[in-house]
Amino acid sequence: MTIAALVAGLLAGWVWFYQPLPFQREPLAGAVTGAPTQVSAAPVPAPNAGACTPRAGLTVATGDDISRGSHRRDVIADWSADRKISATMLEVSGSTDVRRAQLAAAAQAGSCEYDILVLDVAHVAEFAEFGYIKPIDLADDSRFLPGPLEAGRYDGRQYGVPFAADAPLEFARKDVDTTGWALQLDDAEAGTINMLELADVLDGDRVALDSAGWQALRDYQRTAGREPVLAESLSYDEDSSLKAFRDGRTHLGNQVTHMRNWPIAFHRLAADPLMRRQDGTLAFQIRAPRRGVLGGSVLAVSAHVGPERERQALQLIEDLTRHDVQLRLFACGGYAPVLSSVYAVYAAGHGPDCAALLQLPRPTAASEVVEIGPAELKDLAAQIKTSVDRSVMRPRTAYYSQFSQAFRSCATGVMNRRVSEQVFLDAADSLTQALSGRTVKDPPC
Amino acid sequence: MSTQQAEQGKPTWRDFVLPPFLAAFFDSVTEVLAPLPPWARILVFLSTGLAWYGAKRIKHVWKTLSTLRKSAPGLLGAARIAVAVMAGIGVAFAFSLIVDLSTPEPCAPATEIRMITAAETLWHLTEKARQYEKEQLADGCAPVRVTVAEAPALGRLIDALNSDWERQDTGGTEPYVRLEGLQPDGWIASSEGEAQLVEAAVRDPGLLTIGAPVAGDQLVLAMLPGAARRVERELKAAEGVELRQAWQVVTGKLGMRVARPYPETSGAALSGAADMREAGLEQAERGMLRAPLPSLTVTKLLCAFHARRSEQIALFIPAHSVADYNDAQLTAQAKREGCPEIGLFGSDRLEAVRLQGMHALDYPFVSMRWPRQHSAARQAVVDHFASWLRAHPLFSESAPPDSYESRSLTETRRRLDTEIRPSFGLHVLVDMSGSARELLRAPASAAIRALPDVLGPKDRVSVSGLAAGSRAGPARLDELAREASLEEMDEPARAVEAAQFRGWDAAISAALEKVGGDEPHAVVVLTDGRLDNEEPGDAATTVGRALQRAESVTGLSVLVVGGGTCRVTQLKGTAKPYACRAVAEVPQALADTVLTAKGWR
Repeated sequence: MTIAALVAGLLAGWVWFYQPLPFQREPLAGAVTGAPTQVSAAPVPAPNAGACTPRAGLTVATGDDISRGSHRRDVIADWSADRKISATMLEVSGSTDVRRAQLAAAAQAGSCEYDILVLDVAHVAEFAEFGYIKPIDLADDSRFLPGPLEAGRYDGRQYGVPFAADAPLEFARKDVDTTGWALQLDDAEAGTINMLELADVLDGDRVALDSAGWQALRDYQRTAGREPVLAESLSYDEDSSLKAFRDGRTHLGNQVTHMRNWPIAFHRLAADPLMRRQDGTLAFQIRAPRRGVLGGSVLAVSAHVGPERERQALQLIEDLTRHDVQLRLFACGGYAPVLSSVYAVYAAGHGPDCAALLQLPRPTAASEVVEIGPAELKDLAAQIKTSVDRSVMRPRTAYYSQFSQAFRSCATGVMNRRVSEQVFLDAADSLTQALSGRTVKDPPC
Repeated sequence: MSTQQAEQGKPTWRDFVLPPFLAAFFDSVTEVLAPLPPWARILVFLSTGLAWYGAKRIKHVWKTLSTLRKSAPGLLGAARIAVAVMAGIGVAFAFSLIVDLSTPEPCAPATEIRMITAAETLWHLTEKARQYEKEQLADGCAPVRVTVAEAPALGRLIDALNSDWERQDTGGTEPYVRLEGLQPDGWIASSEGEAQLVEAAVRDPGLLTIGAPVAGDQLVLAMLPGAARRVERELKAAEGVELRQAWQVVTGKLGMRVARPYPETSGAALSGAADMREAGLEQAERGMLRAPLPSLTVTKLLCAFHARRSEQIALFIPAHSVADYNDAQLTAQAKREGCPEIGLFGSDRLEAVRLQGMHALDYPFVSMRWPRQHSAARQAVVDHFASWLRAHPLFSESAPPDSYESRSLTETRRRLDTEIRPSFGLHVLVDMSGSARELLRAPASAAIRALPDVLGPKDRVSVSGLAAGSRAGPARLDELAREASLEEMDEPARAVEAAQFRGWDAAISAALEKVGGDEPHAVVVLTDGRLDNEEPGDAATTVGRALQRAESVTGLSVLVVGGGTCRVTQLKGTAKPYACRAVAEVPQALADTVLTAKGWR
């Protein structure tokens, strides 16, 4: 009887106390009648194995192919030529933020239009957490650089296979005296990255705001130990800052001698005859900064593709991360490789240039084509590797884009002298909440 | 009970309360237990309790339970045990609940909504979207996130809607496609007429749903205060003046010129063209090709006006754009469009001359239903945003009309294309030197394919490759297309992609001498080059004279790609139009140039 009473008490207690309370019930999804009321988020559909209508062939949704010569497109086209199933590269947008919104919206609609998503590493956590992409079992992950590999991991599982590494490089012109820096401080993700680097506030997955960070932002134009940053940087993105560096001056006439930019800027500059001296050597040099923010992209599989397409997508991902493909994308396109083997080849002095890889005829005197030689690629590879090794990751949170906007708003306010030190430091709570997706104070600074 | 009692082996209140209390504590602070079902967590509670107190104390618990049972006969005793156990579970639950309630749940993913609208409406829609997101916050979590982008021009919008939002840069022959920017869930059109024009041109009848207006506005004639005073004096009243009368005073009596964006690329301007037609100003419409400040959008027009700020120019633009200019709300958008004036707008405030009898710009909310991206739940959120916008109009100065002022713009557009606009000739010269190979091959091909967006059925295009055989050698023009119609752009585009690009920079002055042709045509050069190979003398003079000598060439535009710069910004020795600019997006830049060049005569 005692045992029976014990069991009865357990069952009764469970039923009584562990049913959801009324205020814990989920609100209804936003049906609207008459005057607008509060809306609730639409539920994300479960992974849709084959019920939606995919495009013919595999679709790789990515940003603009900014490589010199559209080599990403060519690589995917070559893959299709050798297979029964074709693959198409779909350029969604050159804007990281627009690309994120587009891919997230499609995933929320249960769309299987895109098989492979080329994601910015900052968005892996969001897409993994909310079920937009599937985990991937990597057969051999030791071939990848540790930083980019880790950037594709979330909650202990690999969701993104590294595709292109990105870590900042510092570019300096050799032909003029030292004067001014061009950064990317505009209202976009590149701005967040540059501001995080300026303020040096990243600490693992945390953002530690301190007085030194506030000071560095406020006095960004004359941060100790470097040449002044030009105020025009507040409206610059990667392309406009590159243009200013190439021109040697801003649109307002101020001289530009230094630039912080991604490795792909190297190919765009080095292929320009104007950035070469008479003897053919480069008119600028590069080096890895002391510390930067890790960028880059990964290849992820959409959660809404069926098993057969998933298998094909994984095959394409494996082929896009082969040594020869990564070598080509680097030597010809300027994309920083993610495989240790590529860096090893260049470090050993055996790295080829694009003409050798593609067996193209060498430029002659009858042509003004400028090729980037093996020695230049060797130096570039070494600097990229150093920068990747020194770089730190942005906070890995499913709400990174919200945090990014909030931080950028604060940092811009500091740079424009509108946000005091105390207000900046007090924003730590708001920014911490933003990492959890919560808006405590709007604007945060 | 006391410690002494506990030492004597008698159960105390701590024997019943502490074990589940501690287990609940661990439950709440440890994620390990959280995924377990409640029954498993209860077992953990009991096990924790038993483990904590050790085997000896099990006897006390058992003895206590037995005591309870014996304290009353039969079922009552058993009931007391059950209640005692429930009480223990209740304590555990209560503690767990307290801890859980103090730890917020993670936010659910915000529903992503994508909106597009015209350039001059972008700032307003973005502000409203931010306000909407803020009002919908629940416990700090955002259930909705709205991304706003500029809508493509009318022609490209229709093409994109008919091709799954993909740009037709490749003619379907290449293994890559591009989206036409952000693929919208909703579009705020400038007028119901514009929305209907697009709806009629879209093949999928279920793709668009034209909803209720979310703003109301009207076109006005905007000008600097001095000009406004003169106009008012002539008209005797600022309010209640009809368009025809105002136009005649402004352009006739006062000798001013009216500028507006192109109706081909601006919905507001197309509505204005319909107003002009209804006001009997079709002759004036013909003259608009030579209007000052040719611009694709209202914001680009305001940017161009800001650089000049002339009292001799009146702007035919929406009223809210006048307020935006005066309040410096367009700076961010202007920067995005490459407006060189980075400073604030509004240093000379514009005044609006309001006009009677104008049709309303009624900004309907047009929902999109993409077949491969549709979900009822997301649509409900889009509809909710549309309803909210109706209750919170885009422009605070005027409420949206209760219903549409229905007016078709189809006839206006047809007449513009076929009757009002004269035929236009264009010759595109593509720099095929070696340095331009990777910078121009794909973009130039895409730009040529996109030309039909801005061409009419009477327009003709020639395409040639331009290069020299050796450094500073004579220019060579390789003809890729001669006077092709807009349906024939595929072939020259493919020819550009297949070209070798192995020559040297050729002198543009030499190319101008070779373009030939009897019909007037504009020349556009796509190059990565630097115009520093013109000899003898300086390039500005050499190219200027060559342009002047080329009788059939109405004007020259040079688009420099790949981060190069325009070394020659003005020509000498010719009054013909000339423009040189560095561009990042070749198809867009070529379209801009064509619309500008249509005004060269």
